[in-house]
Formats: sequence, structure tokens, C-alpha cells
Amino acid sequence: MTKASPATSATDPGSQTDAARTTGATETPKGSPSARPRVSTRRVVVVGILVSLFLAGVVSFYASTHPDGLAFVAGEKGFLHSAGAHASDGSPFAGYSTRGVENARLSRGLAGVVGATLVFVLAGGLFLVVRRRDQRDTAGDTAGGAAGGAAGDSPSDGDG
Amino acid sequence: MHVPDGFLDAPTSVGTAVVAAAGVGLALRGARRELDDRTAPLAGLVALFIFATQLLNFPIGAGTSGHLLGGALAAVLVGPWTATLAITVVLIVQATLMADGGLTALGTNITLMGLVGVWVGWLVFIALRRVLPRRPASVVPAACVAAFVSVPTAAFAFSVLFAIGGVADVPFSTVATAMVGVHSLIGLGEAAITALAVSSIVAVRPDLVYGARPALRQRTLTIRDEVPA
Repeated sequence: MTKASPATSATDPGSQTDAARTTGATETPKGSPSARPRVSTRRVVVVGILVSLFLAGVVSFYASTHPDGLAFVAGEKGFLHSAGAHASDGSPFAGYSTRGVENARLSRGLAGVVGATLVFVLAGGLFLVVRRRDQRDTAGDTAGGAAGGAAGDSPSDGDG
Repeated sequence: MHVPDGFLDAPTSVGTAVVAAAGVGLALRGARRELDDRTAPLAGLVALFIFATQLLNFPIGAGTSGHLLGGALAAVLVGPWTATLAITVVLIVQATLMADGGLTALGTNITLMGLVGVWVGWLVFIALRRVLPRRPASVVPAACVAAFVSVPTAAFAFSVLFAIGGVADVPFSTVATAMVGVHSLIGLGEAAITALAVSSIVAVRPDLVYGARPALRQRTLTIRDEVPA
């Protein structure tokens, strides 16, 4: 990071590389009307995570409990009974409620947060492995890419 | 629209599992072009957001509810290949941990929501993007319509699968009419949530929205033209 590329950098250091790389020419002209304060990618992601966890953990309690579109049609047209028992009914979070937790609000909220966290970890991990490492990036990013590559070496999956 | 175990017979479920596996395999290659250091965390967030929002069933009257499928939303925000992967992860967690959507129906659900929902949404989106003004803001109405169309289309796809391999003997037209009718209403909710989510990101960081990139490239060129003048 510190001995970052002498090659190109007219603008550079550290925190700006992201901005410079992505929107580049869009933002460079000083005093251009589009020069508004820029929200960092990190902030977007963190706010998004907090909103999502709030939805999964708190708001989900207030969701409609009516059957969804498919279940409704299945019931009305007489094929709902063909659904079998679910093989995962033994899961501690089956049906979006946490086994052993009496309080309905807490039971649902906990299941929502656990599931949401697992989705983020699995999807985020998958995307980090799959992603393209940009060869032309600065030293700091290359280090990051190398770390990611190391993670990618172990074909992580535990669905045995 | 999570299909439970037992609705479709074994050959149909195997067939959709093969289709889903092929689609996910292609998506693993395709997503590489869409994901970089900057967009990978955002794509993880999109998967998280879809899981969270799928918990929020909204009533659509007549004792029925619906929830976001998220295919169009994910495709517009992070690209269609990545969207297929994101929805696949969501469906796997739902089927294994939450007992939502059958295990033998996992291939069916990935096919319906991760392939049909995503790609119909994406194709409608790029068709509309072509005719709308070339600005980042145009992404919002295009995504909104794409989201609406994707839901009844996925419902229709289920009806076709049910005609092929449904265990119960119900006429295709009966199932299709009911499925498309109910899911057109759910599509309105899908459109509203998609518009809200996409417009939020477009407002703060249009450059992070996959579907807005062509419009931003255009804008870059415009500014360069003005510099010498």
C-alpha cells in the first residue's frame, strides 16, 4: 500500500484508488456539477447489511402468514395434499422459527438473522472466490488479490 | 413460489435439477466477468437482502400472500450471472436450514427463480434500457417493469412443469390461469420493492449498479468532449 505504483498515479493515495479506478473521468474535472460527496462502497455495504438484518430479525415478525401464491393455488385447485413432509423438518430453524425458543418474536427473529448471516457468508465467500482479480491494479489490491487467491485454493464446500 | 417436495414427479425433478446444475455451472463462469474486488461484497449483500426480503410476505387479498423473488433486482444490481448464483445460495439455505422449498425440488426452484426469474427479468430490463433515455435514472423504471414481468413468467413456467410432471391431475389451463393471475398481483409488490432498492443505490452510487454502467460510460464521454471547449 505505502509503496504504491509510481507508474500511473496522478491523483492516488490509498483511499482514492477505488474512486479513481471506477468512475475515473466522471469525477476528475474539478468543480464539475457532479462533484458531490461520495459514499464509500464500504458504507453502502454496511448500511445494506444493517437494513437487511433489521428486516430479517425484526420486521419479519409482522409479515403476512397467509399461504403464498403457489400454496394458495395448490389449495384451491386441489393439489396441495401432494406435498410431502419436508426432509429438513428436523432442522432447528425449520419453518423460520427457532426450536426451543418460546417467545414467538424472538424465535422468528433469531431464525431470520441466522439464515441471513449464513447466506451472506456463503454468497460473499463464493463471490470472493469467483471474482476477477484485476491485473492492472495497485500494489495494495494485488496483495488483496493474492490473499483471495489463497482462499480460493481450498475449494471450500462442506455439503457432504 | 417455493415448490415443496411431492408436487412434481421424480423424472421432472431430475430434469429440472440437470437444468439448474447446468445453469449454475454457466453462472460460475459468467459471474467472473461481473465480479471484482469492489462488486463482490455488494453481491454478497444482494443475496443477504433477498433472503431477508423473502421473509416479508405481503398480503395480496383473498387470504393469499406473496414475497419478493428478487431475480430482476439482483440481475440489475450485480449482473445476471451473479444473480443466478445469489438466488441459488438463498434457495439452498432456505431448503436445508429453514425447510422452505423441497430438497428434491431444489433444482425446480433454482430453475424457476434463479434462471427463469433472473433471465426474464434481465432480458426485459435490457430491452427497456435500450428504448429509455441513456441515463442512470432510467435503470429504475426498467428494473421495475422487469421485476413485474419476471414473477408471472416464473409462475407460468411452474405451470408448464406441472403439466409435464405434476403428481395431481389438474388441467394445465386451470393451473396456469390461477398461477399467472395470483402472481401478477405479487409482481406488483416485486416491482415496488425492486424500484425502491434499485433507486436507493442509484441515488448514492450509480456506478455500483451493474445495469447502469453503459449509461455512465456514455456520461464519461460527454464530459471529455466538453473539456477542450
